[in-house]
Amino acid sequence: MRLFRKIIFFLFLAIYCVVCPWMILYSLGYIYNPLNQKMTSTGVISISTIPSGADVYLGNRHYTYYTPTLIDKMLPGNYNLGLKLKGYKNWTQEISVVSGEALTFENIFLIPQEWSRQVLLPKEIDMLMSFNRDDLLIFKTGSQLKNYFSYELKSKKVKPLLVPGSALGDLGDGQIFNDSESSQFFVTAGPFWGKKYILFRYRHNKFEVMDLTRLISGKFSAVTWDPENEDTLLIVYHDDVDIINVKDLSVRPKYAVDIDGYGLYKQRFYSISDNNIFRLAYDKPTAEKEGLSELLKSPRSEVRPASPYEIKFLKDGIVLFLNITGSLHVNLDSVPLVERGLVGFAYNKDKNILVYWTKNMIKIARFSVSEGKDVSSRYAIKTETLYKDGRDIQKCVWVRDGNHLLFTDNGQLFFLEIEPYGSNHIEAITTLKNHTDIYYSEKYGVLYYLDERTGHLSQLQIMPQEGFFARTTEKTKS
Amino acid sequence: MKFVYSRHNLVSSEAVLERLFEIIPGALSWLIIIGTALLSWKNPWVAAILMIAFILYWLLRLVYMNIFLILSYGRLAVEEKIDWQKRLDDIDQLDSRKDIAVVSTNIKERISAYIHCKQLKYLRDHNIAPPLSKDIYHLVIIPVIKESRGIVEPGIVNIVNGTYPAKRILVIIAVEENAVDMIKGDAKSLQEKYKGYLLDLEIVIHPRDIPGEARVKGANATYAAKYAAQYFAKLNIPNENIIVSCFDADTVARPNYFSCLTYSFLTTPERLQTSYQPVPVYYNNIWDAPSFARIIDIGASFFQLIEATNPDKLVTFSSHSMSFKALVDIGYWPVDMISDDSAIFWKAFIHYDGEYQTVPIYTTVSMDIVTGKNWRETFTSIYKQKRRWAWGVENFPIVMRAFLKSTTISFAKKLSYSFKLLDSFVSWATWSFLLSLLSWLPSVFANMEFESSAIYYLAPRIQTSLFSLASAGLIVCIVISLLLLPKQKESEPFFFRILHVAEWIFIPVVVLVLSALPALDAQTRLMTGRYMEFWVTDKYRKTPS
Repeated sequence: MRLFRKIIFFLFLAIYCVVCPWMILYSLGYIYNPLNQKMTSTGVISISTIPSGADVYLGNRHYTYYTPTLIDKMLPGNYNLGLKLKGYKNWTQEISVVSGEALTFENIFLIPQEWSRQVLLPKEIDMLMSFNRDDLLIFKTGSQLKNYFSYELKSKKVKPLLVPGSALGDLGDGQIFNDSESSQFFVTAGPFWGKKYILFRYRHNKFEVMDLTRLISGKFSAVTWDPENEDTLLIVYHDDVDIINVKDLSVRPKYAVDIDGYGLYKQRFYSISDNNIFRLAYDKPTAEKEGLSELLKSPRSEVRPASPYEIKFLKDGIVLFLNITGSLHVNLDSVPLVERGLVGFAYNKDKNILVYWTKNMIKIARFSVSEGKDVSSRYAIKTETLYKDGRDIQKCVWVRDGNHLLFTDNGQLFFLEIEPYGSNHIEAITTLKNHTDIYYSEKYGVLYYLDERTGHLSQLQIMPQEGFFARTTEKTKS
Repeated sequence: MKFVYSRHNLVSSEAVLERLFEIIPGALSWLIIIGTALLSWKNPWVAAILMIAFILYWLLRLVYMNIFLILSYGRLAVEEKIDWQKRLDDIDQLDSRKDIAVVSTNIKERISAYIHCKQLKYLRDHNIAPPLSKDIYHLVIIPVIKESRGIVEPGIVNIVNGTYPAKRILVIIAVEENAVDMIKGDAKSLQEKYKGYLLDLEIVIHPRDIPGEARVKGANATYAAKYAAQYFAKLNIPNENIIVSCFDADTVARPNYFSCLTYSFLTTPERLQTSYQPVPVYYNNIWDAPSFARIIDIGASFFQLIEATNPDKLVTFSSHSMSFKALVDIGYWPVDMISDDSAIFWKAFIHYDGEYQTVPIYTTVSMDIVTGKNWRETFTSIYKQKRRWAWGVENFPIVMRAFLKSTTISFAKKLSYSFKLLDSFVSWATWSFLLSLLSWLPSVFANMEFESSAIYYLAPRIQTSLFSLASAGLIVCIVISLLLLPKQKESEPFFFRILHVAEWIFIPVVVLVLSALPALDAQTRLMTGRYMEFWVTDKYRKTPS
């Protein structure tokens, strides 16, 4: 037994001494190339698709595994990567494999040959409104308040927002202020000599309608609120601000005066004047002012956006400044992201990416952590143009993972996939009623829109409901 | 070599050395665990490569151990039905036999017969004349503190009903003075019932608070052994002809144990400088215990089976036997150490300048799986028991000091034993952490640069493949555990066996929490000087064993 044990021991030792280095070299991407009889460094490609199970092609060569998969032992060079799945359009991309490195294509969305569509309401609708609920849509069929309706997706019931016979019902609507992350919207209604200011709020499974006319002193340029605290509205009168408490219907007129900018965030009111930012606690009887100049000033250069502008807070001290002329600044850089013509922006918190667009162009700004200690040097910004051939881009929405976008351009709906390597994939999906809003439900992967021809409320299944972002184990075709 | 095998009352230089060596195992274990985590964070490339190297090493070692587990189990199966008494007769007639051929029928018997013939031939060729089997006596010491009659009696019954003549077995129930009266009463009643079947059944009350003694089992056993020495001296039975077995209170030796032990004793050339280690199994209450308790103790049995194939490095564990002469010569068990079962081996090893060994005997002793009144108590009890087992690390500093002092033990032997001792404890405490928790850390801490490297994707793939291969080793363990399990009682459905197979999927978690963690706990205590007290495990049995 002693001798046998020794034999086995040295045999295993030999196996280890031979296998271990090979295994380590393989993990680093090295393989033995019989052609030149040398160790060659290779790259890998990691691919996952939605849905999974797509055939993988490298040039004309069909790879035996299907997605999600890892293709290893890739000799450095250029390849044409193709994905094919029955019922879906082919996907191709020119890629360049580098030794020892991995190319990752995560959650490549395969465009179906036929989108799954459904008409929800066969009724002509003027406008669809973004509303932060997955079970409810808001739309209007005319310009009067009595033509405002809610549509419950589960029960498929249509309900007017105003009770029948309401005195407000015949008022024509004017401006609508809403926030896609909010469950309320604000409407100006009625003739110019008798303007009414109405707040619609969704509470306790029904709509509350609040007439705030008496709280508003005159023509204002903007109404805004923090979606996390909807009871407080900010009414912006050029360079003065009133604060309205919707709960007790009180107003604090001229809460801030002669300001260059304003914002609400986590129950604090932020104002900018004389190039300084101040934070006030508006829920306290007297405003407590706190200087936050470091938010505005940066070591790179002074940020001097034009006034008035709105302050929006992203995460970790990244602040946006939006100007009514359509400029967009961020506190991390003195150069504006957009000089003029900003139509909108949307922030993906998970990936820390901001998408912003004008009528002609869609861009993204990626905020990545750098080594700096203070806010201004903690992040580096990298911008990228995703789409520059737009004619009338109105809306962009993120589709979950920060790699996909839906956007509307001149009455067409597009799906954009941001590729880590090579050019982005853009696919036209459908046409929709121009200058109408869309609503995308992250939870169900469904897009709601108004059909171009009929104006009917319709839905489009964008993301498959089963296996959504799920990674399955690697499989081989039998 | 004269060496006081204790960590107490040391001179300052020895005390410093002792403290230094006490720190080493725990420090090394923590260094490995924390170092791996830090390396994964700071340099995931190197960490990923090291993990691949480690997992491959672990896999090969698992296969290596499985090979010897199978061989050891095979040997156990081969020796299972041997008539050891007949074998003893063969030894007694060694001189008068012309040939040593033994007739056998099936393959198991042939293998066993072959081994037997080889041993007889060795004795004859080397002119080793063992004593006659009828001159061999056994001393069985059963330390008791709170174990009731129901726990102790089955072991005595098996001794009485065993194949070895019970009239040559002296059983001492060593009761602690501070045991409750009920326990003392139980011992008395056992004495009355079984005394007549044995050479004798004595009860020795171990006084408390003897100076220099800690509250440890070894102190009780030593006190009883000293009593036994006087007992045998009165009967003029030389210590050379006595084999002492120190059992736990719940130990139930197989009926062939003492015959098998005697055979081993007689066929071992250096029988007086040898310990005899059976295979410990935990079958007394196996189906009463929760599944996690079952698989962890089956793992302990496996470990001993594997160790049995390497007698060069085998160390005594739990219930075992040795020459009574050796026990007396070395000064009995340590009276101030918890791990008396392994300490006695090292004490003897050092006393005999490295000329001491442990020989495996292929028979089993069955003990209880530690349980409690409910799952929580059982879990706590098992944790404490495993921590006590891991407290065997307390031997490391003492052994190292002895090695440094010894001029007669060869350097190669010192190095070999030191490495094995340290490696066994450190790997016990760290491997589970490395495999279950830390192997994935490089991916978790990956920065963008690492995420875009080939190794970020290939390393997990390699690890998964290695773990998949390791599952074949798990199948071997499951099969052998099924083969080792005691025969079903009629009241237990076959479903239990199926359930037992399914239990093994929990092995990664169970080993981490109930093996590695207690080991790390014990080493940390030693490292920080928080020495452990002896803790008596509670023993419950729903059904008699």
